[in-house]
Amino acid sequence: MWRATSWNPPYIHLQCGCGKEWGLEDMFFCFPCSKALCPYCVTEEIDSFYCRNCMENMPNTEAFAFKNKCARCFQCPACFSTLQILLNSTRQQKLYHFGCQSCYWDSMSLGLFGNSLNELLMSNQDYFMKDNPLQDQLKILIDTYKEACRNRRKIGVKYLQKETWTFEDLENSVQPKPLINPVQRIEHQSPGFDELLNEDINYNEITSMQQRLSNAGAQPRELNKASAQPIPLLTRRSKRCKYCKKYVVKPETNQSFSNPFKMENLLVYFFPRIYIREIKSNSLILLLINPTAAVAYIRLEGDKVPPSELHLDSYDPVMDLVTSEGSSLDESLIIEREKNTISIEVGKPSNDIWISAFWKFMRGQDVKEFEIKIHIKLA
Amino acid sequence: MSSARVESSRLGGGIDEEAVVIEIGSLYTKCGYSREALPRSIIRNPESLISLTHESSKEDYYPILRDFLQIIYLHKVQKSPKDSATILCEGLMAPRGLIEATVKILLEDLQVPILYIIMSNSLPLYTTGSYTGLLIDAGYFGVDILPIYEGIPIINSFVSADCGGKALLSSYKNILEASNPGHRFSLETVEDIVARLSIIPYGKLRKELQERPTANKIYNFIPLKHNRAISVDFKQRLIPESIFFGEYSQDSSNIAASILRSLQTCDIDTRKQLINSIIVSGGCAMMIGFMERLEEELLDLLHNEPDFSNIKPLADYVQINQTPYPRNLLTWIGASIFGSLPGLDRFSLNLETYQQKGLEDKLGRYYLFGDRPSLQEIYQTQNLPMERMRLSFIRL
Repeated sequence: MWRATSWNPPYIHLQCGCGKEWGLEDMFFCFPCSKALCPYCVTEEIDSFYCRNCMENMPNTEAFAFKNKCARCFQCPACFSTLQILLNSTRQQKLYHFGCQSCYWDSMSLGLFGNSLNELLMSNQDYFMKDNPLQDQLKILIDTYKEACRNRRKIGVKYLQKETWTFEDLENSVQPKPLINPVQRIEHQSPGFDELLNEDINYNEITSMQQRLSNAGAQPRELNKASAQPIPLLTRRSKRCKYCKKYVVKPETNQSFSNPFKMENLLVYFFPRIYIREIKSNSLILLLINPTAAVAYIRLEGDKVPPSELHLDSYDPVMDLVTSEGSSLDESLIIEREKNTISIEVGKPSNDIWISAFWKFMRGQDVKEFEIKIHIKLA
Repeated sequence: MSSARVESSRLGGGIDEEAVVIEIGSLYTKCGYSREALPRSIIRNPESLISLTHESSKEDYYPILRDFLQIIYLHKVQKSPKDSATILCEGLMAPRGLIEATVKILLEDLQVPILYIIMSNSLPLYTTGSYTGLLIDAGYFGVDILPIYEGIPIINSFVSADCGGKALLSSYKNILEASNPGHRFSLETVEDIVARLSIIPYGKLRKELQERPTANKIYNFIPLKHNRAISVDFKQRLIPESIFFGEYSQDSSNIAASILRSLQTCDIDTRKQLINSIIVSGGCAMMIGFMERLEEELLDLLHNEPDFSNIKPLADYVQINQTPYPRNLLTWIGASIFGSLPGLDRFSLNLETYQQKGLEDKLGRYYLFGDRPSLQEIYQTQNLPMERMRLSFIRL
C-alpha cells in the first residue's frame, strides 16, 4: 500500500482500536482523543495540487479546468517518463521538440515541434482541445434527453385533451423515433489474406493496453500515432481523525516555509520504536527507544510479563544531553539502560506474543496517556 | 420503476455539481466526473479482485476494495470523497458481494455524502440518443444481451452467454502453453498478445480463409511481463473467431445466435425497432473486425438458419449503431450523461438510510421480482452454470 519505509520490522505489529494490525510508521496519533489511529481510522481530503515535475502549485479551480493535469509538463506515451524539451539545430533553423531520455521516443515524426519554446508548448495545448468533438456530442445528447423529458410530459397532456384521434397521432404516439439520428452503416473494408500474411508486424510498435488506455479518447493502435500527454498532478492531502474530526496531519499551504507540514502527528514521534535484540529459548529481549523530548513512562502487561512501570529517559542528539530520572522502583525487567533506550526481557509463551503497553508521555505541559496492544509474530 | 426508463414523471432536481462516476468493471475500472465525455482514468483492477467470483462474499471483497477505492478518489479522480456525490454502476450480472462491499466502503469508511446506484446494462443506450435499442455488452465474464424498448428493459429476453473475454483468454492461454513448451503465461500477458495481434476475419478475408485455411508464418516477440521470447503462428492470431463466432449449433457459443434467440422472445411488434438499433459495448468489441463480423453473422444466420426462419424478414433491418465514442467506455459515458439528467434522486442512498434499511437489491426487486439468493436457487435447481443461463421471469 502506501508503506514507504521499513523502520518497523515486519514481525512487530500494533493493534488499532478498530481491531486491525499495522506497522508503527503507518499509524497516527490524535491528541484530542488520546488515541492511536490506523490509516483506516483517518479521513483524507485534498488541500491543493502540484506538478511533480515543475513543482508549481495549482488552485482547485484551475486544476479542474485543466482536468487535473499540468499545462506545461508532458510525459512519454510509450514509457510514461517525463519528456524533455530538446533542441535540434541545423544551419538554417532551430527546432524545439519533445524527447524521451529513457526510451528515445521523439515528437518530430508526429509533427510536434516549434521554432521557439512557446510555439512548441502552444502546439501541444491542442491536447486539451482534442476531445472537444466528443464533448460537444455529449452536450447535444444531454440537452436532447432533457428536452425529451419535458416534451413527453407535454405530449401526454396534449393527447389526453384531444377529442378526435387521427391515424397520424396514433402512429406518433406508438412509433419510437430516435431523438437524434447519428447512425451509419458499418463499412466493410477488410484486409485480404495476402495482405494480412505479408504484413510486417513489429510487436513493440503496437501499443499495449496501458498505452492505449492512457489516451482514452483516441486509443491508438500504432505507437507512432500516440501523442505526448500532460503529466497528471499530485495532491497535498490533510488527514482528520474519524471520531473527533480534528486534524491529524495538515500540510503547509504557504510554500515559503521550510517545513512542509503545519501539523504532523505520526505515531512514530510519540510512541517508542521497538526492536527485537535477541531471541532466547523461552524469553525475548526487546529494545525500546523513546522518541519524545521528555522522560516518558511505560507499563507493560502480558502473559509472561511481570507488571511493572518503567521510565524511559530522553536524549537530545543536538545538545548531546540526556534527561534522566534515575532508576525506577522496579528495575528487575531491565537488562540495559543507555541514553533514551532500554532493553527489557519478556517471557516467550509461544511464537505469538501479545503485550499491552500503557504509554504516558509529556507534550509541553500536558501529560498524555494511552493504551496500545503490541503483537509480536515470530513464526 | 426502472433505471433505464426516461419518463415523464421525472421532476427537476438533478445534481448541480459534477458527480464522481465510478464503474467497477470485471477487468478495468473507469472513473471520472459526470458531464465529461471521457473518464479521467482507466485502471486495471488488482489481480486479487479479478480472481473473485459470484460465490465470493462481501468480506472477501472488502479489504481489496478498501484500498482500491481510496486510490481512485484521492489519486485518480482527485476529489475528497467527503464532498463528492457519487454515481455507481451496478451490472445486472455483477456479483452481489462486490456491490455490497463497495457501498459499505463508500458510505461508512470514505463518508461519501450521497450515492446513486444505477443499472449499467442500460447505460450505453444514452450515448445513442434514442429510447429503443438492443444492448450487447461484450465484457470479460460474458456477453450480456438486454433489449430495451421505449425505455423499458425487457427482462425476460435477457441473455447472458459465456463467450466473453474470460473464455477467450483461458483457451488462448492453453493453446499458447501447448505451442510454447516450458512457458507459463499470466492473464495479463495473454491479454496483451490478444490485444496486439488478434484479428477477427470478416468480409474478403473470411471468404479467402475458407479457400486457404493454412499459412506458414511465425511471429517471434517478447510479450508484456514475460521475460522470454515466444512464437505465435498465423492461425493463432485468428483464435477469437472460434470463441465469439463458432459454428452455429444449439449450444455452441455464438454471439449472433444469442442475440437472435433473445430477439425471438421479444414481442413481435418490437423486434423491428430493436434489431434496427443494436448497440455494442465492452472491451471485446474493441477487437479488429468484431463489429463487422457480428453484422455478417446476424445476416448469415437470418438468411440461412432454419431455427431463425420465423424472424427472417428482419434481415433487411439489421443495423449496428456507430458512435464516435470508444466502445469499451460506453457504459461509463452513459453514466456520465445519466448523472446530468434530472430525476436522479430516486436512485439515491445516504448513510442514514443505509444504516437503517441496509442496501436493497434494486435490480432484484425491480427487474427480476426476486432477490439474488432466490436467483441462485433457480440456477441450482435447474442444474445450470451461473454464466450461461437465460433468465425467464414474469414480464414487467
